[in-house]
Amino acid sequence: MSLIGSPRFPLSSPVPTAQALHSVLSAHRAWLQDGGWVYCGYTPLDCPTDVSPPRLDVTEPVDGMFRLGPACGFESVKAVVTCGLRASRFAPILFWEVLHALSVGGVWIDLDVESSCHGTVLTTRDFLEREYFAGCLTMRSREVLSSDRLTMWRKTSPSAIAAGVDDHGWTFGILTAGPSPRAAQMARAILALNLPAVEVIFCGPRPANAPDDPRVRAIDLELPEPRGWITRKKNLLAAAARHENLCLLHDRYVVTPDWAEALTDYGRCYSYVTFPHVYYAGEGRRFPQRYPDYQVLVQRRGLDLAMRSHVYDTNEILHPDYDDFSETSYCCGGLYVARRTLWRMLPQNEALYHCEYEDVSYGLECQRRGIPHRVSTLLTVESATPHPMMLVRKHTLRAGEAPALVEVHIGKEELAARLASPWLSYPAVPMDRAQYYRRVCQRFNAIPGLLPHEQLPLALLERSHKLSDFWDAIARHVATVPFVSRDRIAHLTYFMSDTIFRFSTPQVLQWIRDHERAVAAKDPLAGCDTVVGWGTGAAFRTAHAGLGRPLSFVIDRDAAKWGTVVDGVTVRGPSALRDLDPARSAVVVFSCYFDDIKRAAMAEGATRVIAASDACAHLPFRPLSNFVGYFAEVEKYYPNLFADTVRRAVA
Amino acid sequence: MRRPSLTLPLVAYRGLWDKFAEPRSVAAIRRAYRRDVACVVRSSESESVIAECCAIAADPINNRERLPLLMVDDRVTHGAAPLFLFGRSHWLRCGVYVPVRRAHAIERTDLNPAVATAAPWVLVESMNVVQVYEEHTILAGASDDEILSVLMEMAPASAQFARVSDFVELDFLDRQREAA
Repeated sequence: MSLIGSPRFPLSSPVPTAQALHSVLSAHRAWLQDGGWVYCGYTPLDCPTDVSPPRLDVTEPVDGMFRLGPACGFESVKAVVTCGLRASRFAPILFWEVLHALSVGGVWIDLDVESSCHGTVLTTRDFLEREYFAGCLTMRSREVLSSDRLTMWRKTSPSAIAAGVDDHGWTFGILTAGPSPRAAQMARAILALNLPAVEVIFCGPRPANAPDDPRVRAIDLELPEPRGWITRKKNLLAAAARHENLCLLHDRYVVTPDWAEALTDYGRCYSYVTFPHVYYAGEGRRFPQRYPDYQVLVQRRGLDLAMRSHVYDTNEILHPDYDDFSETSYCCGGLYVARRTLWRMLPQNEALYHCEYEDVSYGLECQRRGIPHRVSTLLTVESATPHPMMLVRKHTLRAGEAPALVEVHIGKEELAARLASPWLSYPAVPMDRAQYYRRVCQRFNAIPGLLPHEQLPLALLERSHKLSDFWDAIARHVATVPFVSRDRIAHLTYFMSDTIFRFSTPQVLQWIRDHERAVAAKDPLAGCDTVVGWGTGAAFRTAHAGLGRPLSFVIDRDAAKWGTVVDGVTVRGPSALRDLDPARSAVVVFSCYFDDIKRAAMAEGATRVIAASDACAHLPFRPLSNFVGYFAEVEKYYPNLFADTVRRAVA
Repeated sequence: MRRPSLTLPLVAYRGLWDKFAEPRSVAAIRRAYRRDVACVVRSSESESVIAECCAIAADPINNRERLPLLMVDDRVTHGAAPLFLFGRSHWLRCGVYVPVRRAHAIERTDLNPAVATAAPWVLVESMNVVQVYEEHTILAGASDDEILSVLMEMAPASAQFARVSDFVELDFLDRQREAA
């Protein structure tokens, strides 16, 4: 018998032959004589007659849920033989489970194809040599047998989690920011869980209605951190925890009594675990949609670069099946079930803040050290809020299939149900329409340096009714404002980060770079060192700022104005053009008498004379235009866009 | 096609700026070192700002990788500017800094200064430090790789090149996309 594979999870490489295994067992029978050994391998076991049969020949199906604890107990098996594990994508899980089944002093005989024993995409270290394993395993021998490698190990000390494995208490660490009313509800529900011992620690402001209970306390950062220092908060929670079993989570969950059973039934031998997450888009737990919970980085090349820079391509991050696994799978940062020992051994990187891929980096660092990130399907946890970027689509990876990017996750039947009973749907935006519009407008108008006529007009609020029309109006308005300097474009992206979603810095920089290039491609003033204006009347005063770049001076034929300053620009006479290099300068005409002025300018040596209307930097900001499309799609699937839309629907 | 300029060590032009840290601010410098990215500051900055930057670079909590803090003498307006790195208590001449606007006019002698370090540094600004709507007729059509190729050909064999970028985190992403 052997481990049971699945067509969904094919082995990626050969495994040692049954004959090779047979020979190894026979050669090492002295270690396997008392029958207390366990076999765990993909090569079918044909036990030699001179070897006592194993106490257990593991014939479980292998997927992300694989566990050895129920059958073998914790660190109680005297000898283990493994064979061909590296051919499986679940190898990190298999090795983890075997390590914790093996007793201190126990012997581990591992046989595998030699070519598989030189590490993976994540690290050049073989599994049994990774940090977590190296802490309790010592290699006794290594030999190459034809195309196979045979290693023998002794477990010389308990595994790192062993010391705390009998602690049945739970520390729930809840990250708060601002009022966090839901955190108080969560704490109340947690205290009511049927668990042997429980404590709740808030890291952040203590919620106003938090339970007054000795099991509840609050800690916080020394200073407020607007970036969202979630790594530090989680590390502080782990450091402050009284219990070995940690559940570190953000303040948007609905805690229900079945959490207790799910947490305890998973057993005590675990590394990092999360649960499937769901957001219910309708009342009565209707219209479930997946929330980022367990993800996989499908990138295979340049991983080292990614891990050193902590920058990842979001198109390489997908939601896998829950029973799938990869060395590059990780628990999303919203909820971790973890051992305090492990967290203290490997704290999160405090140089990373919210929306800086801290969970991706953490997962990979753990996996690189031999500590897998997994998911338990004993429970589905509910997020009280939706993910703003996953209202309709998400990136999905189904085992055996190509990645499905931006796949619609709302089926036709569900859509029909939503449209048939709109009063049952929660709003896409959890605030009243007017309140939302006002909030967005106020944030836009807070962009530094906006001139009065560049601000969003209040009329926008009155003309809009939905999301797409509102954002379309904003996009059109932005196209009339000269967002051309890097600083200005950056502030526009910050506005989007504050009102739509907190985008990563690489994404923001990409937008800035793309828009700068678009501006340059359109800009008739590109390549000019010096730009001067001609005309100081009303046309100049209303339009010169729209160039998006400063004027060296402005020309007026009225000698009385020479030497004065209009709108911060010095006025000079036409002859000033003679001092300029015509190849690297331009004259922008702020007047309806363009032809006449052009002749005059060229008489002074100018070669590039442009009408102001052609020079102003009006250009759509593509990311905003894209979001108009995004919101238009949201409107198709969410019959209620705003909180007051729901109330009207119910009425 | 792989771009050689993307393989060079990166130095942040104005720190790692973002929504919470203005370009060239101390916060942006700190963020850079915490993310293991070296920075270049200008000699024209105020003494207090430079002192803060030195303190950040000297602090092992902020600068785990012990990356250097570099300073360019931006009073120099022709050719390559002198480049310094901060030692324990003072600045050591370590190489040259090539502003992208002057890259076309660099001569061989510019890239071979007398330095205190074993191998001279040559920091080359990326085109991305120039905001596109500004003038760069001199550089019209030039790319980082083209500029780099010319400079590397002129520099001594021992020179160590690094690229000064205003879009460091995007460069990281571009590198990975190229590697993939």
